[in-house]
Amino acid sequence: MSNIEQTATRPLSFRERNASQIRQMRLYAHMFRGSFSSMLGLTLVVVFLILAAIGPYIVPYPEDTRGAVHMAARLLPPSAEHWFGTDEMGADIFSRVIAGARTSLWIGIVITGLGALIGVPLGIIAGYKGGLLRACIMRVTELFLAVPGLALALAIVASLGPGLTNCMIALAIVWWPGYVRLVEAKTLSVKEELFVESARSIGAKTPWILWHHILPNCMSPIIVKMSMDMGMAILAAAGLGFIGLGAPPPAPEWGAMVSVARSYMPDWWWYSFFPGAAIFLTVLGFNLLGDGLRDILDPRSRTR
Amino acid sequence: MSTPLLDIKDYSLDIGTFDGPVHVLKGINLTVNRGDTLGIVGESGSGKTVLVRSVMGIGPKGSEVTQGQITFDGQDITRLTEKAWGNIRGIRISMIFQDPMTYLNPLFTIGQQISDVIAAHQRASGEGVASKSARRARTVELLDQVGMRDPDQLFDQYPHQLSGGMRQRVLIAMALAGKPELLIADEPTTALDVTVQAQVLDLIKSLVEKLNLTVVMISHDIGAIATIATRCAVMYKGEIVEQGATADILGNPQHAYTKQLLAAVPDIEAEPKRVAAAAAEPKTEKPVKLLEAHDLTKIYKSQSGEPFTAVDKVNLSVAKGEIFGVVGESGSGKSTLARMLLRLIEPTSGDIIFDGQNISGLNGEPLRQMRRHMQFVFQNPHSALNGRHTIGDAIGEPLRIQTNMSKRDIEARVEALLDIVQLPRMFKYRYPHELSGGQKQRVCIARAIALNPRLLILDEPTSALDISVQAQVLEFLQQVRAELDLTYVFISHDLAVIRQICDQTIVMKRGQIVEQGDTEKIFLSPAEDYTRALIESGRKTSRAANIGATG
Repeated sequence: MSNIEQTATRPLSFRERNASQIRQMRLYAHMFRGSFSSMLGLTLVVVFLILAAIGPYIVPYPEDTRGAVHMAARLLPPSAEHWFGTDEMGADIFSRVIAGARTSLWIGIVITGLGALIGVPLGIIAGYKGGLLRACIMRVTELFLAVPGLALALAIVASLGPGLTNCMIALAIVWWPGYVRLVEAKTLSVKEELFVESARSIGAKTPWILWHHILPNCMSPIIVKMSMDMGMAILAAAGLGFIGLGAPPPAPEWGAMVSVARSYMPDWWWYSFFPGAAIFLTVLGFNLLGDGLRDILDPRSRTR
Repeated sequence: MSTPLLDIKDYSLDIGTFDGPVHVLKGINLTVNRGDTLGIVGESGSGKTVLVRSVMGIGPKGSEVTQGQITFDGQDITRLTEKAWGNIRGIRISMIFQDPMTYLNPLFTIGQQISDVIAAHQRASGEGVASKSARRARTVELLDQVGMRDPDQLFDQYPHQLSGGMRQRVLIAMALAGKPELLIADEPTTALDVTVQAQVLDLIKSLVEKLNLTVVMISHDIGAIATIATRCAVMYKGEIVEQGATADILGNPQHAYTKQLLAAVPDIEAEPKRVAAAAAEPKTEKPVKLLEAHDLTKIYKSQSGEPFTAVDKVNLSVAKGEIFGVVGESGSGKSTLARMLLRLIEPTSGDIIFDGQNISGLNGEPLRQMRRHMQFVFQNPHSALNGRHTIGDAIGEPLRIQTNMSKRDIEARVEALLDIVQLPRMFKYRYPHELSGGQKQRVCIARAIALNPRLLILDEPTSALDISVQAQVLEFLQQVRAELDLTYVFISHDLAVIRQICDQTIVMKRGQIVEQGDTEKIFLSPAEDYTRALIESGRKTSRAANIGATG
């Protein structure tokens, strides 16, 4: 005890103050590294993020991503010059696929972000308050869940008119109920914890309890769900793009590219294969990452 | 018969963690002969549960035996295959677990669960499974053996229809189903009420005599060990520091840790120091009433719609500066009462008067302001702290909520509070899971006194802690009270603790006060049968533990 008191007189360094968090992070990293699929997921997501960040500056044919037409170079197979071949307008598919990463990332962030922004507060309020308010919120949530999400989104886009923004709005509208469900269930268990009652006994108001006690304890499942949803949202947006409700044609959007390309199957296979592969790898990456995060954040697996 | 039944030689066990291996058991040597009753005492984290689980072959995940071996009836069982264990586990060695609430499957009847165990044993021993009616007969016999009334009817009941003590008896019956040669009891009474504890200990003792069982019992309760075990071993930090005849160890402890442990056991017979002190200091003024309750009632509606009265017309008054004790078994409504006094639970009817002001009608902001003056310390410090907040955040939280102090002032106050509760200042950067139970409870107390309250309600503040830690926390609570001029309402099921520190005491049973008055008077001449029974059963274990100390 005495030597602790002596050392405590000098101010502690950042490293010492946050020793436990650093250890926790190292433990997470250690567990994450131990799993091949998590690391694969992380690699795919990192590659995707890098492409989204710097893609437009490194593509070999930047003008092709904005809808340039080279009628002489139509539908060329993959070669050293055009790695992924060219499309029916003679544009370089490699450039367009890379440029599409940014669109997809944007779609993923906006949809899951908006979904969580609407869903998490509703879920916390429903779970904490209970009673009539909870019944109302949960019934409305179930109403949304009862209709197939993509079908509802389709109807919304159809009424708003096609376009990338409307497509994202529509998907966000159908995305939030999942968060309400998740957060409500977690809140119901967290609010029974002693520390919530303890906070109440020192005179904390409800918003304080929700923000400082309930929300931090709901964060792990929210993070996991968001990382998984990134993939699903990109897939759903590609689906809407495929039926022509997403980004208008010259924009390099993966779903729209596959859609146009399907009439060139199977002779010009590379046209639909590469955008499709991009969708596949991105969704796979986010799902594996989400799985990995769930494994390390789940308290049941935290035996060490 | 010359070979011991269980022989543990130089047994060491490591558990691999991220931070490297932890040496959980270090060179354990233990011998248990047939017919022995061995008690293992130690505080939580001393490795006693890991030790007995290793004997059952259900050691923790990622553990590795570094040296030594365990021999059972001449057979080395240190590294048996799962298949070989099938003929030993539950049949020749069986175990009674700590928490009877969670070890029974709520979906099956008691009878079915026990007869399934019987069937499993018969299958494993290759006898062939007996008929259903034969197993039923054996189950009823077992239930009768563990002292259950009406075992025939009990056969078709579900676990939730049974009380904690009855469930523990069912678990004992289950453990006896295979006619085990060695019975391991892992804290069999910890989760039970005082009166029930005494009954279960009596049962185990009578079974040992009747069935000539060999028992290894582990407990942190020296009284329980002293009641059952003829021999006893003391474990501390993964080592056995002392072993021998129980009476010798309790009467003449050799190791410093054992001495400290024995000194910490509260003695129900001892006349508390404060009585002498109070006699020497005559009361000069009439005590001021700080907290009063009039006809406080809480009625819950059960799921079937029937009203259930948790607290029934309780009247009490707490004088300023005293320690007011509330005793009762679980389900007696004492925690509900405590929460109502703070308005954490809304009373169905009745008034609470704090310092002359009726607070039962307060709402919103005035109630929030009121909370400054009365604080609550919870039973379980492990869940009373938010795992995502640092200790500094936890202690500073009431200041951030109730005052306009600047960040720097709060930091300073947090450090001062850590000094008061005698924890190093650097603890404010730590997280709750890094602290021990006693340290966490100190943090909870620091949090409770942060706003300089006048009343502290302590709901079993020591029952989740080890005995040696309990003694420290109790002493510390009395110190803080003197320093900060606090009034305590102290809730406990442990009569020895109540007698040591409380001035006034109420005894509760099924939501009603059965007896109240001066603590010494209640202990020396209880007026009610219930109080007498409570004190008697408390005395039983306390006396056993203090055999050596007093005689």
